[in-house]
Amino acid sequence: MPWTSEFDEDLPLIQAIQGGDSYAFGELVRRHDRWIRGVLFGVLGKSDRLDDVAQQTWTSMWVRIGELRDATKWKSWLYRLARNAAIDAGRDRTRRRKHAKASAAQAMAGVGERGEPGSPESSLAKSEASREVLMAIEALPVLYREPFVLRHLSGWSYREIAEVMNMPVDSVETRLVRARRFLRESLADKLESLR
Amino acid sequence: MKASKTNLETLISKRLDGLLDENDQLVLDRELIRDPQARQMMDAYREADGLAARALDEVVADRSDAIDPQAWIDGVSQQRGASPVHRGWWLVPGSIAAGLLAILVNSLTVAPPPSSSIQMARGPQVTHVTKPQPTMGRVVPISAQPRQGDVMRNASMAPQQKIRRDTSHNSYGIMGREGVLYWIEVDRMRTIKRPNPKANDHPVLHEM
Repeated sequence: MPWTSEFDEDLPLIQAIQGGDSYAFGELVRRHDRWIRGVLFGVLGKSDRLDDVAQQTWTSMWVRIGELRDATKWKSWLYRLARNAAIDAGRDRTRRRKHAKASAAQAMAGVGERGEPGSPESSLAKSEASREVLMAIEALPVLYREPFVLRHLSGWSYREIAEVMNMPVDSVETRLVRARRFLRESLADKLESLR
Repeated sequence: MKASKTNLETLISKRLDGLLDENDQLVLDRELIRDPQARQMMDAYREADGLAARALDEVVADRSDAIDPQAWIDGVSQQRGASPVHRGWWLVPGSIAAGLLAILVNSLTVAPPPSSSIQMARGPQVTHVTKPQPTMGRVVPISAQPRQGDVMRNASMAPQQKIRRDTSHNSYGIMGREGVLYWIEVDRMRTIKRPNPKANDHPVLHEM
């Protein structure tokens, strides 16, 4: 793979982590936490549990680093860890949502996805405009949202996205076009007011 | 040549990502100059993209000051009691214990050969069962039931395993494919080492 065979400045960190170096682990987290959160948001489509799931992903990496056979492929491996953590968190969210619905009659009125007490979603969206846009991104099909978020948050090339997502570069390109079209259409009537 | 809407969207998307090559750049620029709707579309895409980028930045705002990876590791270590590099430490004593257990089981199921001063110079071959050689012994098919007095340690004994010894010949029981037990008596060949002052002399073989 051309991408993985290029010089990777993070490779020494990965090798140090494999040797149990916690300082290297901290450094890797600081360098790559942003795109990990991007992957999580891309899969989850919600931002309220990003901190928890990101921490789960990183601790999982620390615990399972012994399973990484080829250190040069650490990014794809970490991407899969993050993605699986997000999928698990999504299942957990669905379970909680069902539970909340089942107990809605007994519980206080208004308990639900958007009305969960203590949800930090509103605090994450600092402005009304951002909240509107964020809702539009959340509404994207996960198929399109994932590469779109990765592209915006990590700045990866199409090839890099294609490699971690294990798909052809053309598919990444197509999905990005569709994500943008979807976003433009859903924000079309709001663009004026959002300016 | 006029670009289709899909093609135009693709070109715009690639430009927003900064990935347009020179030819595509020319095609898009020509389209934007020629078609006001294309310009409008380009503006709308650029605006939506910028807003999305800002919103996503807020979602994953830089938390490098807030996060403490060392504390995460400490938490994991407390839960698991070991760092990842030391997870396999128990494999070494575990392997040794398994090896010792295997040796113990082996020694209990396979009896040691009877102690004797007689040493076998060579043993009979399995192929002798189907093509017995007169010089090595004789093959006698018998019923699966061993004769009285024969010593068979257990039913799962390997075909070549010796089941009776005496001073003149060895007896072997071999189960054939058709279920017939072949009883093979093989003349014993012994090695007797005579005391010899000349060190270079080889032992003399005597066949009994």
